Amino acid sequence: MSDVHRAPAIAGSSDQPTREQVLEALGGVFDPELGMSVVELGLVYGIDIVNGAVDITMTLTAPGCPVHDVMPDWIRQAVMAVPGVLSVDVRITFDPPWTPERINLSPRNRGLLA
Amino acid sequence: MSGPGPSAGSAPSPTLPLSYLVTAVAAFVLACAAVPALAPELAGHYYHPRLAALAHTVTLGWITLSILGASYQLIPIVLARPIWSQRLARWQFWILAVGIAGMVSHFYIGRWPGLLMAAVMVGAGVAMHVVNVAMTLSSVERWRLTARFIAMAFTGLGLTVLFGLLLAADRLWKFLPGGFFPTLHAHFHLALLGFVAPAVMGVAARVYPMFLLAPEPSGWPERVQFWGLALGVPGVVTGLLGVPALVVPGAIAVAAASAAHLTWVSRMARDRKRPALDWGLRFVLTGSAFLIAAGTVGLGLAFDLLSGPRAALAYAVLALGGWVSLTIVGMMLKIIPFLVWYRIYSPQVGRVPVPTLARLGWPAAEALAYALLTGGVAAVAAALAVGDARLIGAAGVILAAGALCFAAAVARVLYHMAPSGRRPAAAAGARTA
Repeated sequence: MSDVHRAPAIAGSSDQPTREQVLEALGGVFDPELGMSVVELGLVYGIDIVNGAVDITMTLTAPGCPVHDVMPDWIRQAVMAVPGVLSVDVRITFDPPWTPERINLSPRNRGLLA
Repeated sequence: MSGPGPSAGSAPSPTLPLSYLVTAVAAFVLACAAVPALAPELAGHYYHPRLAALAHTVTLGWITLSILGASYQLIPIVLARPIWSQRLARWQFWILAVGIAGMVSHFYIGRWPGLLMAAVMVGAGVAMHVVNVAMTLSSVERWRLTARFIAMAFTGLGLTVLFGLLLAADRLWKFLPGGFFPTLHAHFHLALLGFVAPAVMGVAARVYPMFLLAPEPSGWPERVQFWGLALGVPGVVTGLLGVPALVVPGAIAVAAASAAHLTWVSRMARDRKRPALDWGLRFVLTGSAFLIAAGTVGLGLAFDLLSGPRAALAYAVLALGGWVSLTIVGMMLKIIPFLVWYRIYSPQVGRVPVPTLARLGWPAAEALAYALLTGGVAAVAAALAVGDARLIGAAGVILAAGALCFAAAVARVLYHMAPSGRRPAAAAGARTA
């Protein structure tokens, strides 16, 4: 289970982006090789939202991961599209390291891992 | 995130490994096409100039270029370190390509002075690679299994090439002590067990878990793999060169390393979170299964239960064609699409829908390649064991057809690099941002 599921709900005003909106946007950022989103892979460790500023803590499947250089831009592109988001900061961490146990496959993607 | 590619701040240009890998595929097609053409020679003794040309097309043109090219892509991932010098790697490619072409052609026509000159070029290219890897490894802080295997592999490569240079010089000046065939066998085993085996096992240690979505295994298989090769390879090579009593214990140690590797791969396959296997992973796992057959025949040769050129040729095909080549084909079907995707589609992520890696390939060609190559390798090994030229020719045709299907699958992926070959995302899950 990813930490993202244990994160406290974000309290905010009606024009403030919600954690659910950010998660939905992150669900559209896919691993090109696996065809799974960063959320389903359990790569997202935490989401903090304060006055439209979104801080995302996430990992990659391994240090030296091929998309290390470009992933933060993909995440920023996706989350900036959420109404009310003013800035996005992406922090990559390998503590704790990712393991396959973090994968949380959606029914839609059970057949995509080919 | 799961595929191989440039690492943080160290991204080698995708064209660097691609130049090695595409040349290696061309060598593979050439080698497979040569099997039916050389069937009469293959039905005889393996020491024949044209068979030496075929062997070096496989070992240098296909296997070595694949490993060197893949290492420039995978070392930044498995070691989390940038390659020391990309410029050196580019110069090295051209020196190696010319040197290998020269060696193969001079073997084929049996001209030894030209062979020695070409071998010197190959030696220079390999030396450049060893320097590049050594400088990269020098910044590694924690020597995990993969780093140790890579160091072992490129030490083995350097020694193999040095050995080969001595053999080429010996054709002219006859200075090496001992019999020719034991020396030749030692050269072959140094290449297979001292260079290729640790390269495959080392990369597998980090890359298979990433592709299979499996936990990285640990424990005794890790230690037995490493120490089995570290102790077994010197035993086998020294034993072949002049201390026969070391051959059997060396072979047992190598067999233990192989058994540990197979145990470890089967654990990953069993515990994987990736339920469906693509053709690349099927090639890799099938290649591992060929290690059982190759190891069995190899032990038979070491224990003198088997002997002669028929068993030796079948052993070489099971090891180089089965285990090593099928593993490389599988890895290439993973690496090349990623390199092309990273170069062509990665900059477009978030701006336009882009295809996933699975949509870059040609699954029908990959499936046909799988059936023909796995069947072809088994058929060629069996035909060589029998020693019938017609059977070798027929099996070689199957193998060559498989190689062409594989090349077609690779060409389809590379076609995305041409503007007319690019395609938009078209399926659910194909959007990347």
